[in-house]
Amino acid sequence: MGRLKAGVSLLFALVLSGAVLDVGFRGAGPLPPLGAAFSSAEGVWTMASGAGPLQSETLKVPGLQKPVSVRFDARGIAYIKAATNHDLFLAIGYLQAKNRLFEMDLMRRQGEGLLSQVVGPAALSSDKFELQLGLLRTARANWLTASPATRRVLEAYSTGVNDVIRTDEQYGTLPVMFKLLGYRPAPWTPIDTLIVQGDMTQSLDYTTAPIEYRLLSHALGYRQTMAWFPIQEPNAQHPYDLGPYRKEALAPIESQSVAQMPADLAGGVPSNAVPGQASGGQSQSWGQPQGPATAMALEKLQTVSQEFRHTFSDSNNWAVSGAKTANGGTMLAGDPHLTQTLPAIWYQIAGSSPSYHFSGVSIPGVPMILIGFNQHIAWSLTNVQNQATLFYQEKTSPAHPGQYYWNGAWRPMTVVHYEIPVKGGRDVPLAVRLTVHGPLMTQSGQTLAVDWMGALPSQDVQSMLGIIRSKNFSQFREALSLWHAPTQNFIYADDRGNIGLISAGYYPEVAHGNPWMPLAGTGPDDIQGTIAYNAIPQSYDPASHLLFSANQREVTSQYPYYIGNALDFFSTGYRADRIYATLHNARHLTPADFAALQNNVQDVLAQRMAPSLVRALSHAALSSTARQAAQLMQGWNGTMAAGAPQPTIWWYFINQYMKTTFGPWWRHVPVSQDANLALNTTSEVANPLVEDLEAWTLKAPHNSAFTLPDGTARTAPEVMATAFRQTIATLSRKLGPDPKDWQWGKVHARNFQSLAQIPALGYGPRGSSGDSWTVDAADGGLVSHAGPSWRMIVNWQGPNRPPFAEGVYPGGQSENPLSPLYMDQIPAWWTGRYYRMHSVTQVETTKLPVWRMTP
Amino acid sequence: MKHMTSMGRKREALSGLGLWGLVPAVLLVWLLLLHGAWWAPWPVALLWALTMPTALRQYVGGLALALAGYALPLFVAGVRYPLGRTANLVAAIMGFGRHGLVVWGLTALLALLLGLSGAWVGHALRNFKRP
Repeated sequence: MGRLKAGVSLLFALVLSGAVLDVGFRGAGPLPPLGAAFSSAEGVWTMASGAGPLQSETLKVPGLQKPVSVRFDARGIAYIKAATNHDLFLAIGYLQAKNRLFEMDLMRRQGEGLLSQVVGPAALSSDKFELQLGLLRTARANWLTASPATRRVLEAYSTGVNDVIRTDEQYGTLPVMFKLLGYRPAPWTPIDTLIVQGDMTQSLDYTTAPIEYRLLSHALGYRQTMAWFPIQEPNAQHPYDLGPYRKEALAPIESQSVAQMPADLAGGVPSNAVPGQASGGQSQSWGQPQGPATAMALEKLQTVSQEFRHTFSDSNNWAVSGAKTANGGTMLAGDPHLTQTLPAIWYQIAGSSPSYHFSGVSIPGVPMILIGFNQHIAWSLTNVQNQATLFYQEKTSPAHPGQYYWNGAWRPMTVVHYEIPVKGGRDVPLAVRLTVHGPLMTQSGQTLAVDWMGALPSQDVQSMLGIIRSKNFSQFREALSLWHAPTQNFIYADDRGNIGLISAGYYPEVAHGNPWMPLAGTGPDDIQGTIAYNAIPQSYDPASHLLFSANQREVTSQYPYYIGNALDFFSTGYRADRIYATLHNARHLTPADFAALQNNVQDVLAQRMAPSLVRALSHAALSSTARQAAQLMQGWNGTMAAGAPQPTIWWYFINQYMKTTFGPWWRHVPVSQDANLALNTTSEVANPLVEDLEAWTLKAPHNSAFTLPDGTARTAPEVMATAFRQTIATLSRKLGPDPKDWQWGKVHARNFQSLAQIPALGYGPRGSSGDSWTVDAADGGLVSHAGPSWRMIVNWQGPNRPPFAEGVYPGGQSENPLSPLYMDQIPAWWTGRYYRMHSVTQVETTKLPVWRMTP
Repeated sequence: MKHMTSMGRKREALSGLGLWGLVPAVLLVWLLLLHGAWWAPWPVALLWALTMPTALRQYVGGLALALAGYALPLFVAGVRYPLGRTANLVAAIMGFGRHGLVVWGLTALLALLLGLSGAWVGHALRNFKRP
């Protein structure tokens, strides 16, 4: 009996032990694997070690060829001195991984369609979208076509990243998010870097405007659609390339088939083999989650995918020659506008090796700076916004299942099979059908083949390395000839007094059909090539001594090629107008002047239209509150200051004006099917519609658009008065009866969300100045989450002399939220201040913490 | 014994629980933890229970070595790093607001469960062998 009792006791003890160990190894319900997460030596507690300041260390880093030293300034900016080029890129990988490993892993997972593996079914739609669009296929094609030099750089970088992963695994110091999500990062491969490149390309280059055109055309009729969403913007703009233009034969585009149908994809891509296979045949396993990870706060990770779709990429850059500056040297400014997250998208570094000497910002996952300067040139980027995505309606028939009709014959579609691993569930199969145009995808109810320039191989890494090595404009221009996607406005200024701007990338051209609409997939409407490099928008040392891009159309209506339309997706040009107005007559400019312009919050549209509004209200019947509000608007110059009430009135008014004007026509527009069609200033249709309103209000107040569909005639002043009364009613309900109390900062804020969408790790929302159309852009509506992600100013001091350079970004170098470097730059960014940027040689003799890395 | 002081009784009780034997056990747990073995309290408590003569010593010792073994790395880290802030932040990430006690609690619970279950298995094995 005693033995039986002891046996039962042993059984229960073993059951309890099994349960405890199981929860420890695999987690339970919403809890992560408790063992790895809450071990007092290696669990989440190790995050605390990042709370201290950076200190000098000696590190053994396998793979280095020679010792490398890395100095860190007070903000954790890394100054890398390497004796070989290989070691420089290895060190960059090491440093980025040391500071941003989770961010890097998230970005590659996003592009590879592997978010569901760590997040669960909520991310399935994102994974399916990415696998259909094909960043992974493109990355593999890029790798296959990469030059040996590019491969060496990517491999050295991967070695550096993997050194960190290995060390973190060994000492249990992986970033806390891995522990809470319950998985380990797989080794980094060159493909992962190319995937991150693809993420950025997608974010900047991919749009669905032809689908919107089709839906609008169905609802409004083609004629009305083209009247309201014309090819050429209806308002006056300031292109930077004024011509004369060259008309040349189209240049060939890389074969679509290389990107879309690599032979080794025929059998599908097992989820656990994706990165390994791609990196040259080695068998490496993808980090598998250990079990059901915490879902409580991380369940919103799936929304990360939204950040990689083109929504707001309103960037600025400009350059002036010495004739306009106080010191006689060229001066350049750049502030790319992207989604503002914590950790930020940028990681700042300076590097020095036999072939490279640079200082600037890199994207974690990518082994070089994208924006910055070297010993002779400085550069920055904005998005060109040309139409890089074409959609094809394939001809299919029940009589020819799995085939499509192209160039006179029925052709089999290629089918690529994927298995999407899903946390807490079974793998989900996905079959992607490919035609000669690209993958068949269903978006907003439309099933079309997507011919996207971002899906084609683009040797961006090689091109960027060439830029970083360039000593003059001709080398810079030569390097950019390799750049295909995303199309970018590369602005340039050098130490010898030259400035330039090249809108590099693919500009797909068709011989037949309207590319702004879905095209017929039968052949004649296919892309014939791209605008030749010599004929793309560009300028060098213009007589105006000024070059600038702010996502406005780069060329005038005389340009002999189609490059895009008002909807897809050039900016309104208001930021470009402000930049032009500030700089075109300016002299003796200093970095402080450029800083003031980068932080400018004057809305040009408001400045132009406010007087018309005041005039329209002068004879309108208004309540006393509306009358007070109208008086406030008198003499207002469009400055969207947080402390002023006029911006609030303006912002609500312009949205209401759009609704009051177009709302009656919008009854049949399928907004619920496609949110890009919503009538508000943050949707895709907003840009052309506000341009229309501006043009008609100022020059054609009797435009038929103001007339109601039933024929009731209205004019712009009448619609404005109606919209204004509705605006005041709304604001009175929301903010009280006194318009003086309606400060912009009460309703408008910036919010820097954490990449994992965890409020505790973010910053804000905080009341803020600016709006979507100010140079200091605040994109996304009343709670902005996109805007200047990096501000840089470089003023050359003369030939072979280091420039005066400064920069700042809204974040910090570390992704560890306990680190003093997590968001330390935000206060400076918020108040328009900058930090000096240095080259490696400039800090060599200063006393800074240094990491000595040895092989 | 009748005249034993209060201090003496305590010392004897502690000695009876194998207090001094706990020290190497705790150090062993710590050492294993540092090498990634978060489950270390379980086998150590099991071995401990196998060697202790009474249930009280087995269980109390098993729990003690688990808790102390888990506490040591935190104590060492706490000298240099802000563990309170860490706990609050992890709690926030997990969706518990900034209630760091949850994180402290989960860490302690893990140690306790490992120590308890290990000791229980040891105790049961011992009884099974010699009912």
